[in-house]
Amino acid sequence: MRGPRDRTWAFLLPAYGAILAVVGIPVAYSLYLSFHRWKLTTFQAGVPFVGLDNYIQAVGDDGFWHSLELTIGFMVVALVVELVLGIGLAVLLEQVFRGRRAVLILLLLPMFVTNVVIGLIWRILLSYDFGLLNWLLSVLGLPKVAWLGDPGLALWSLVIVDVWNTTAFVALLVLAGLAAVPDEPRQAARVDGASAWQTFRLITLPLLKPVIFVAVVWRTIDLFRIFDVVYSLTGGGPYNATETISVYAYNQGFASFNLGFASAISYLIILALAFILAIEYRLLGRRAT
Amino acid sequence: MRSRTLVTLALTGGLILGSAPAVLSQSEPLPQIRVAVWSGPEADNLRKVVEAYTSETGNPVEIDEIARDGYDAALRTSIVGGGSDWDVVYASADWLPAFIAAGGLAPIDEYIASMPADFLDMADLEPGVSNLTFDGSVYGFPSEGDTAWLFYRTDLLAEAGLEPPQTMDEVLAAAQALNAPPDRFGMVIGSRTDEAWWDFMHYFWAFGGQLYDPETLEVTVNDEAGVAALTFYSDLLRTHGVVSPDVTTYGFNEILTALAQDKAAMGVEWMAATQSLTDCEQSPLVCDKLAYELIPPSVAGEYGFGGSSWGWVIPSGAANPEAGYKFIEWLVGGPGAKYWALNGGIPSNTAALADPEVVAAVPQFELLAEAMPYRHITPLLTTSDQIVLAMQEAAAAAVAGAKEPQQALDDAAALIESALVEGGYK
Repeated sequence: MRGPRDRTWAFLLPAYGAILAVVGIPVAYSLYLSFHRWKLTTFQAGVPFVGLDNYIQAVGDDGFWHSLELTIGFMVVALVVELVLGIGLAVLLEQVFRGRRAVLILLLLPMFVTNVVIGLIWRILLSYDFGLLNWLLSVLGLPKVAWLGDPGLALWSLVIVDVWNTTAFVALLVLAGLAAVPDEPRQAARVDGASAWQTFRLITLPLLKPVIFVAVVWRTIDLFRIFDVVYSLTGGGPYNATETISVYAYNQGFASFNLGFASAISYLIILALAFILAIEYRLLGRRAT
Repeated sequence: MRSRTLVTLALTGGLILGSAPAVLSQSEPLPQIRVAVWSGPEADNLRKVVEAYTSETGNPVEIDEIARDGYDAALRTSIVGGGSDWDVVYASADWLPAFIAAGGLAPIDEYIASMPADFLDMADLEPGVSNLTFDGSVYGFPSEGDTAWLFYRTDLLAEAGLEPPQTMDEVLAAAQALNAPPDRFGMVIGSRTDEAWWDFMHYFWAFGGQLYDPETLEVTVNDEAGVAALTFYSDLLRTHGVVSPDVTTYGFNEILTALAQDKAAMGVEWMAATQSLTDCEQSPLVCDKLAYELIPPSVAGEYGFGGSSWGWVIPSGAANPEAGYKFIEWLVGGPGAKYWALNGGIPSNTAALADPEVVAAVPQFELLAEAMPYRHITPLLTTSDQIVLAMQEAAAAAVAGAKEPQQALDDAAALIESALVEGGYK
């Protein structure tokens, strides 16, 4: 006799169907494209199978390596800054003080704004000629800075914007972790004469490791595939100074319309990200979990 | 008896109306169409002109204004995919060969032959319509057939005791004399990667540059003239410091803003910006102090500068292509051309350009007639987009200091060579 549990698969079918339609098919099609030559000017005549040619072309492409290197650099710097600031903010916000809720809401505000809008707002704020930051510098008698126009500075500006945008997210995660940390070990440490820093470093931080690991993984994925803020803030420029790997893939796909090559890059991005996450798991995850 | 008569009359009337669907369909409003246009003066103008169209014809039009940064990619994605996002699209002529090769555009010859309006005279649309004709089929009606001017501040030049520059050397000398950083720079350029070619092209041709030999198709961007042009262009920032350090992020809108906000004394800008720059409501700081002239060449009298050719085309996936056609016919070939001109646009309709009211209201059209023989249009090839990408990367790289002008143009030459081969031209 078939029980009600036997029919659960039928109720799940629409959900599986929807996931297959919006995720499975595009993923499978892009994998198919990555082994084929699809160019705007030639696809009408056919989409020939080219084996690993697109992947080989990507691995031998200077632009790909430049973007990958740049993305990893950006990711590491932004991640470290966001973690340090986020943990610090969480510890501060754990304290009870007047206006705590207001501070929390203010910190969370950037997270409510769409990334493209954030990029556009910061493009104005960081403008050499019209930007608020340069106006403040000139009020202080300091020289103006080409935050976005100087190829040596543009990537740092991107870090500033990302830190402003997502540090609150890290703080929120760590704050939730702090709420779950038992108070007894910390009280015991204080009774034993440990300083606040020693208590934090030796008791609180180790207990927060699982949460910090989640924050690291989450932010790594976001930072590695960053696109919208970069696209609206710098467009990948000056020249290619902020052309992160996702922007590079986009340009290959939707400026050059070389979709086979762009698809291959996308799969290389997934592989690179998986490799980075595996390293993170080895360094942090095992001990954290 | 009376009711039978009424029924007979109703049936007869129904038969007459039923046998004349064309008459009925013309008196009814056409279905609403969606028109894609990029942001900036063209979109502002289109809004005004559409108001007149809807008021005159009763046909509704929805405008889809898309940011300039992503306009090209948005069109390509939809048109190549056979999408039905828009019934009419504002597109650069050099994009069309690739769109057509991908089967993304519908020819409009049939509409021209079968449903022409009384006002349509194809002779008025020459030579612009030729840029939208491929393999004998017309794919759209021409809009902007324009160029750029050198805009300069008459008050600042007079204060410095200088005449408007007549050569590129004089442009540099004036830019250096008027340079007052960081508040106002002597010049403004726009070398953001995705728009760099559309700014650099004027300098490239002013110096006598050539993309390739039209006879042999030998790529020549990296010859002496091309390198001299890119050296001049990039040195404005890297050596002379007469442009803002932010020009690596500038495109059309930023050049316009720098001129309008008194942040630059001179600049080359597309003529679509003229109305905005000379309108005292939109540019109160400079409207009465800015003048414009033909972009000076490197050798006195030997003019050469860029031009663009735009048009209104109908995607093959359009939901209402007939209604789209009637709109562009009115906009370009009919009363709309004059509205377009009077609201700041540059019609390719020669009758509208010669209209005394238009001539009196838009003085730059007189200069446009003078500029016409010297304009250079980006080649209309299926691989034009790759040529543009190669040139804008070269310009952006040189200005950003990532490559020397010679190296940047050597790299561009290699890319253009492969684009010509890939397109089957070599």
